[in-house]
Amino acid sequence: MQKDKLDLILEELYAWNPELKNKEAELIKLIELMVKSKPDTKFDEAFSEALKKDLLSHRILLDNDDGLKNNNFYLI
Amino acid sequence: MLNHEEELNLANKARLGDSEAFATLYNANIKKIYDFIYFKTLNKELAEDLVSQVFLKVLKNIGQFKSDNFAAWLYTIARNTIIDYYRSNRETKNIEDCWDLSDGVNLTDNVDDNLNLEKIKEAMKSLSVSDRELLIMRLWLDLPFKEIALNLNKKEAAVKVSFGRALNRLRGKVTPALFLLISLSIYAKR
Repeated sequence: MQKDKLDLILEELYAWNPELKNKEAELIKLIELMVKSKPDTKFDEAFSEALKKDLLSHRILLDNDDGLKNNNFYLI
Repeated sequence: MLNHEEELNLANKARLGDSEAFATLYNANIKKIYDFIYFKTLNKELAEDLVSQVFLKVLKNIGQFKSDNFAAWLYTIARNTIIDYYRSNRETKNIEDCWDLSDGVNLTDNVDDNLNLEKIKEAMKSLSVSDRELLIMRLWLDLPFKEIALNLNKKEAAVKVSFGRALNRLRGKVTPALFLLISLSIYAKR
């Protein structure tokens, strides 16, 4: 974890509870553990683009003024 | 990254049928919402399925969007979509995310392999949903408190206090033996 991020989190914690400074070593380990445990979400850009294309291709632009009053996006 | 006002402005344009505004909102939020869902399901296919449902709901309901906080609205849809999934697929109705799965269910059966995650699994499972969500947003999604406050529709100061309490509770759940293991694992890789 980047040191500045860790420092910021610790600073925020101490602002809330200054007594936590006594537990600094333990907190650093815990925060590092959490960050190291962060799962790789495997975000797929191709999936994202395909979903956007799908969503936009399924919408019909409002075809009359009544659409403005209610739900302008709907599925075909 | 869009600020709160830009996002709200785009949401209002999208509400009136502006597809470019919708696409911009989508681009700005898809990864954050996908990651948020992934951290609550720990399964890529499920996360993709649920994030598709979320943005479909956004598309279908943007016409009724009247809030002054698009992010909070979006995260509420995401959270409810996850809850609906688990509640409709489990006999126990108080499940809100994969971390609530009972002890009889092996989390790793549903989770992509991650040894570090395995170490902290029990401690995370013992926290409340709101505690877990705060830790996930701050430490995994790397969101600043200001943005977390917007997403949760809460005051920034209150979110900081809740985060401090959540981290403190997590500290109380992690055993000394685990701390030793963690230390060895972290420092061995330096």
